[in-house]
Amino acid sequence: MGAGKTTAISAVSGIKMVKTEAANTDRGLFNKATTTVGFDYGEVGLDAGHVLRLYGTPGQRRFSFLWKIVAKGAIGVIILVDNSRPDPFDDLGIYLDNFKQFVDIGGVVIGVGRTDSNPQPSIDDYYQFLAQRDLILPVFAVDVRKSEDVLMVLDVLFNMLEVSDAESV
Amino acid sequence: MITKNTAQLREEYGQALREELELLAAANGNILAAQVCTSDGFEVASTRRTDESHRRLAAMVSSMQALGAAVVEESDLGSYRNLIVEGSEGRCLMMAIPGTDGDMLLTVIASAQLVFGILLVLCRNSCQAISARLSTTV
Repeated sequence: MGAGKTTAISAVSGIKMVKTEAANTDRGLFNKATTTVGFDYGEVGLDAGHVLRLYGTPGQRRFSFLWKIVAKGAIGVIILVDNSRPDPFDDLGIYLDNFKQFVDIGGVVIGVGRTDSNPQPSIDDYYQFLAQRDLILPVFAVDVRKSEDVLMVLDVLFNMLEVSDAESV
Repeated sequence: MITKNTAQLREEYGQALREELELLAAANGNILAAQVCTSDGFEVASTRRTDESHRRLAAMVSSMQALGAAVVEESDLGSYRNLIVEGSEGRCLMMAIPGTDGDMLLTVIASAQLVFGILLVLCRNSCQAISARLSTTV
């Protein structure tokens, strides 16, 4: 919670975003007024009239049933990690485990937020964490309020998926 | 909007809410379970002891309610009131508790033997009673 998933989709969506937020009663975990409990939905227009549909899921583990639902039919996953969390690697590990089917096909890009105020762990530390799991995935510091940052991550994900597709042919 | 956390809600209102839920369950033998949870998916009170299944149900109801509210808004249907899920063996009714700004939800599971209209009336009455039990500062 609080990694900026809703903000990220809002930054790039070409349509009025669908938000499913509720009052946050778990301020001990993250001090924000509301939290996503269903899913966020936005769209990004692509060339030739194609549309990329973006779904943002709640981050808390109690909503893991939704992760499975949203993953059905998805082509890739962007994992946003909040670097100000006590143990961002633990958070990342949970998502890597739960979205393993996308990890296995190289359909995952990792965005790390709040690195300005919380520079540690560094992006290199993230690569080391992934290497310990025998994973090679792109990791970027992102400011999800900036559309160019979010679009960059989406672009990288597309490129990863194209490479994956080409290798499987 | 709720200003208290789940532990505070359970401590202050848990007993009163359990009493209301027990009254609801006692009103008709086809009511199998009832629960009050927060709109962000935490169980506050239930007719059964807290277990894993109820915790999961609270999170699912939270998501369903939020999606239902989004559909209501998209369709210009006013404010969200309730959501019904029907299975071959029964129904699950999820209702926003009046006076909580949609921040607290009643969920009732009933067997198919219970006529839907009766379930709806029982739930509405229970919601009113629960609302009366909750202070306006929730």
